[in-house]
Amino acid sequence: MKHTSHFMGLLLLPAGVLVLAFFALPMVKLIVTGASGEEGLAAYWSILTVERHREALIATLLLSALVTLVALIISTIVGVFLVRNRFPGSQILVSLLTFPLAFPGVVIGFLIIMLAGRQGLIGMVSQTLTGSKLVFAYSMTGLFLGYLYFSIPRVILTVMAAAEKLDVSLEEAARSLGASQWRVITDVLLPALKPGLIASGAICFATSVGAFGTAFTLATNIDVLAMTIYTEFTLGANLASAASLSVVLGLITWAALSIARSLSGSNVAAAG
Amino acid sequence: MNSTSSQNTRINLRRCAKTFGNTQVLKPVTLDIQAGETVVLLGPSGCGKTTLLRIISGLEAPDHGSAILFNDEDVTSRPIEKRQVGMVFQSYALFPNMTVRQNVGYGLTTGQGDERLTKADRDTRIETMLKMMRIQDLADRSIDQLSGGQRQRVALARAIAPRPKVLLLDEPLTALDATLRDDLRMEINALLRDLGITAIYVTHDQSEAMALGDRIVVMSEGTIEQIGTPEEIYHQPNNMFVATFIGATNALSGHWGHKGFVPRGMEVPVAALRMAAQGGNLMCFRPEDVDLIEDGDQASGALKGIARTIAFVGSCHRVIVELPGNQTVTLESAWCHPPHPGDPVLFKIQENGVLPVWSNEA
Repeated sequence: MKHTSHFMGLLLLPAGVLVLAFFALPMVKLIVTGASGEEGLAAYWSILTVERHREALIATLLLSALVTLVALIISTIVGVFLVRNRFPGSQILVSLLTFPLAFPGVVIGFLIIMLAGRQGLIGMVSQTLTGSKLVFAYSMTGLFLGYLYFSIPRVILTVMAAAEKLDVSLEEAARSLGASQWRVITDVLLPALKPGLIASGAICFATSVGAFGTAFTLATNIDVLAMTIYTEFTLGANLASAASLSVVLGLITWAALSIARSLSGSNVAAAG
Repeated sequence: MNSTSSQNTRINLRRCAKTFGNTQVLKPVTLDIQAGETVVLLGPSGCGKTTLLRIISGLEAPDHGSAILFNDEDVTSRPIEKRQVGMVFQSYALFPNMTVRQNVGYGLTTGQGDERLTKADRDTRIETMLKMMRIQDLADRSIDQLSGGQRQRVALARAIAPRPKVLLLDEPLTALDATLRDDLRMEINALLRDLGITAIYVTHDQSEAMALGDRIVVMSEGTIEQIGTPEEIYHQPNNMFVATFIGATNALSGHWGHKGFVPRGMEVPVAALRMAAQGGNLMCFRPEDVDLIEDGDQASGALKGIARTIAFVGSCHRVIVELPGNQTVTLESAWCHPPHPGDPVLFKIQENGVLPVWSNEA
């Protein structure tokens, strides 16, 4: 027995070394650096006390929450529809919809500029129609669209997997008992999809909170937390501040995922 | 139940058909179901029985030209949620996010039907249902804490709680194990009699159909083969399909001569002409419709064979007998001295034992 546990310990050693070297040590270093500035541990409060930081935090949380909400609504409708209705080309549509999964944030940002930038499609059309150019790529709206674009595929895939497993007789039973379409959705469909929606919503939220590439491509003056960290680090050379903000950012995403994990009872992992 | 009046619904189906793609899975069916009657739709899988049930429920729209009447009111274009039907599924289809009580009460919260219930009325109704199905103790359990039998009780209570016009049951016992199935079958039977509700019950199990149905509708390949009481279906089958699908049937090959049926490999007729609507080259009889000749005297019209397999099935012995001409028949009878394999067996087909079916099958 003792022999076996020794052996198991030996097997775990490489993983242990790896975790220690590439995860735990830098993490500790980051936390220490965060407290190494002039104001010490109080740097961690700066996210609430410094107005610029506080606003970035609120903007990030609001944006991510909104992206999550809209992505969940759109993906649920589309996902359930695609599972229920097989038509010629539906497979192609699914692969098109999940295409952005493969894109890095920079590419997403570039796509948004192509769509709503100064030389963008929407700008051209609006100039022809109304005479004034509609440009919103370099703002929160552009960022919102970008995040939505890469969030929807993840949620759609989860919803479709859950919807495939739905027991249709549950809906038929509800209808036989007089339930309207709306009651079927709220009483049967959504409860069945709930674990999947919580899990994919959490990933969606965590990814949006931490995403950097898209924001960086669109504009440097969009105030989301990831951009604030970048600015503090490169422009302000304020290491302590950047480190403390990073720790807070990490904590938020970790919290979102672990709450989702305890609610949905399934495995949730961040991606992107 | 004090409100059986609203549950006495007469159902008339007029040329109900259903086509999926290019296949007409249900040929036009006309069927009249009396108020309070239990009708069993019986047939092998793919015979169209479930499709017919789903058309009556409103889950499937029938082909153009079909009509479904509930008490002479045309409900053909009415969706299921407006039809006031109670449904019980093979998979139970209970809502996993609700307790037993919430499941049973669900149909009272949808505003279906003619009645508007107060909260107190609803609670009373739910309690009555829980008591009737003997599931009061489970009221606050969640669904995944219940056994299969308990789940189907909850499903039944849920289906009848809103006092539907008709109760539709789609193989409700198929997922249960044998003993539980028998118990619940008897309970459903008593429930349907007590409620006096019009019920349509789909099954592929003929013993279930016999036990439950006031009338049985035997179906195959999208058409009705026969409609009748269990006794009629068993003793007077319309055709070979019904004769072989319901109960065990022996089919002897041979030919009908002017004196009666002569089995292959024999010279004397064994069944008189008047016994059946004869024709073709087969004669069918039930395993129990035979008289044994155990004293050894060869009576006229008797068949003689060799016992091959003997099984004691409780009420009688079931003996598989090999006849001349390489035919086997199964006999069920209370033998005084059951034969052993290899023993000769002498028997006579009873006067009324020959089934009125004929076929030209080899």
